[in-house]
Amino acid sequence: MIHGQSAPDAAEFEELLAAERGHLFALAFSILGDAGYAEDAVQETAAAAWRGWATRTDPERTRAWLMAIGVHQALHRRRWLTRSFSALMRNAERAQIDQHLEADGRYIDLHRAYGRLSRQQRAVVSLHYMSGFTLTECAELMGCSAGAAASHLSRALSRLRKELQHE
Amino acid sequence: MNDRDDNDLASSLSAYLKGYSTYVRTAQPRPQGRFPVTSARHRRLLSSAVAVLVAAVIGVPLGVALLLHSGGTRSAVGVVQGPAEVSDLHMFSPTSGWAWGGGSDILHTTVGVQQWTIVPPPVGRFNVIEVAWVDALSARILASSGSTQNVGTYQLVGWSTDDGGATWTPGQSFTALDETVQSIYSATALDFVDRTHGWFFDTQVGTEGSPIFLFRTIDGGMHWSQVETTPARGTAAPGALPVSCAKYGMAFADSTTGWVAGGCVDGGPFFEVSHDGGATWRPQPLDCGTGCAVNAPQFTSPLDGDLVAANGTPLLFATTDGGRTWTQRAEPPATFVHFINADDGFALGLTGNNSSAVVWTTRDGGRSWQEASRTAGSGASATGPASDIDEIDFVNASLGWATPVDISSEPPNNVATPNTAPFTFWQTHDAGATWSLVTPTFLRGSTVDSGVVQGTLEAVGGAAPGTPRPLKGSITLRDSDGTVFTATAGSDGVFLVKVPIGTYAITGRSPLYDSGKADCPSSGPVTVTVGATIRVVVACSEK
Repeated sequence: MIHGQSAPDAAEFEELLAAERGHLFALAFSILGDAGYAEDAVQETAAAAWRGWATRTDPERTRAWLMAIGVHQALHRRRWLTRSFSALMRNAERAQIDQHLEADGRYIDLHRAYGRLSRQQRAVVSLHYMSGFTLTECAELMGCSAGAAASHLSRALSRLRKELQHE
Repeated sequence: MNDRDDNDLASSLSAYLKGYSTYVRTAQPRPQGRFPVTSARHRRLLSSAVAVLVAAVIGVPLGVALLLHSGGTRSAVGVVQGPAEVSDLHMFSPTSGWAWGGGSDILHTTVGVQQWTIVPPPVGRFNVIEVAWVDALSARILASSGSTQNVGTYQLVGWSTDDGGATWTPGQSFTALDETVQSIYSATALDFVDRTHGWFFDTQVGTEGSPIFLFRTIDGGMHWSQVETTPARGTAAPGALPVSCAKYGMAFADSTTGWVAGGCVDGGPFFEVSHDGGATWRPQPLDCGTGCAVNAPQFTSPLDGDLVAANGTPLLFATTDGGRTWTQRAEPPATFVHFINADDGFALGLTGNNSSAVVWTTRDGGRSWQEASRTAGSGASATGPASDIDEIDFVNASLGWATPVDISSEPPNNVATPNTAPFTFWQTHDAGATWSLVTPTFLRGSTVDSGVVQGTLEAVGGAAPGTPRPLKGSITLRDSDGTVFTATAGSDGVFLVKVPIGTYAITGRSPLYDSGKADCPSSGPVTVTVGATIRVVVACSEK
């Protein structure tokens, strides 16, 4: 028994995490732009979720609850980035990431334009176009109003259009 | 752009974003302070939860007992719930030191790590973004008007204390960043070599060819001046840090000599030195091979320092002549290396597939390393730190602390995840061979976060200049963040208003001057300090 929770609780938690890990990673990766940092964010998400596991208010919406924690972790990473020594090791990987995301040259311009969006803009674009969430769901996951999410998306698309026209 | 273009963009985005789901890492970082994630993630986070639990059960009574025998601290007003995470722990003696609890929770102790006083600088709506511990009583911080996200220009204000945080003094605000390329990989560093000389370094790690801004203060952070600017593109000015390469950080050994370190995609190290306080820079050779990236050096005395580089494997260099020459030592076991003098050092990292936390020690300046302790990555025990260690800090060759990672960042507003676990340190008295848990008690120091602006609204000049005439009217005080405070001047022209500390532009209007349509200025911005009463005159010049 861990933290007053039963073994079935722990098993259920691990099962959820195993099922959602890939999605959490992709989401964090698309917001942060760095696979290593995304993995860190997933780990923090898992730790935070475990701590709140027994007290989550709506077990029927556990997946959304977990996603919201993941989005928050990705959106609010700053000191981790500034303090991390891991940047020393990641130049080579960054080149690999760029090559992968540019998909053999098909998305070079889009990749660069996407990278210039703000973190909130990337989050709403990812949630909407990669994960298929509605704007209302995006807002809930990002912890903001639906209007704010719509504004982020509108500005993101406007900026992408502008950047792609100028490329 | 028409609907078809919009659909094309949406389709392209969906296809492009799939790449984030299909990317598989092939370049795994080596063991380091920020541990890599492994397949044992689930077991590891569970062990973290257990570690916190153990701390709660064992540590709280211990902390309370210690509090009862500590005699308290100077301005403490009561036991409070402490921060959930603590970073930047640094002890200057076994009993005195600093740490950062996140936000404005600056932590200071004079009785040891088991009891901290929260001494927040009254930064108001600003965010603390960097801290620098100068000595056991002095700290310097920077607070930003911006959010913790990137974008655009924002204001910074330096705050300083020389009495352990009992009082904080703000400096003059300055504009810090005007990013020409948006990037989330902002890297900042605040470094003070003594109570007066400090530097603030701001760049963007993830971008080859990122802009650099370097500010210097020679009065303890009261005033900052920009001494170095490197644009994101184009050509840097002669003597400036070059465009290109990623810059990871900055460190100064004394008031004139410092380094900026990083790495370049073309394979060479980025290692630039300045001997004039950061005004001009030139490359310093460092023999660390191709693909080498360099971290900023650390100094334990004006002559003795070390730096960690990496070219696939960690490399340790040391200097004993103030950084004129750097000599390679034995390969360190991790990239998180912490020296306390020229000989004694510690390294923190992970090893094996189960991500065990390992502490290594050196007693010969990094020429050889010995493993001090390790613990299993799963099933954390009370005999040593769990694997989620963020930082280590040693005050001498035997006494040190390990700080757990911040696993409890605040959840978004719509997620109910209570954060009630107490923060816990690991402590060792035998250079890391054995560890014990310490759950500290937190007290909140009393601080005054406001001052008074008192003055008069007057008419001056005119056809018969002489004694100024008092005017009734309204006074507006606007701080650097745009926040407005107002006061009313009576028929004697006198006004008085209590405001948060900060710098204010003050104007007044009177119905007796230009029908109340024109602003009357004060002589200049005023800075309100803690508990101070600032006197000003707001003058309406008559023709």
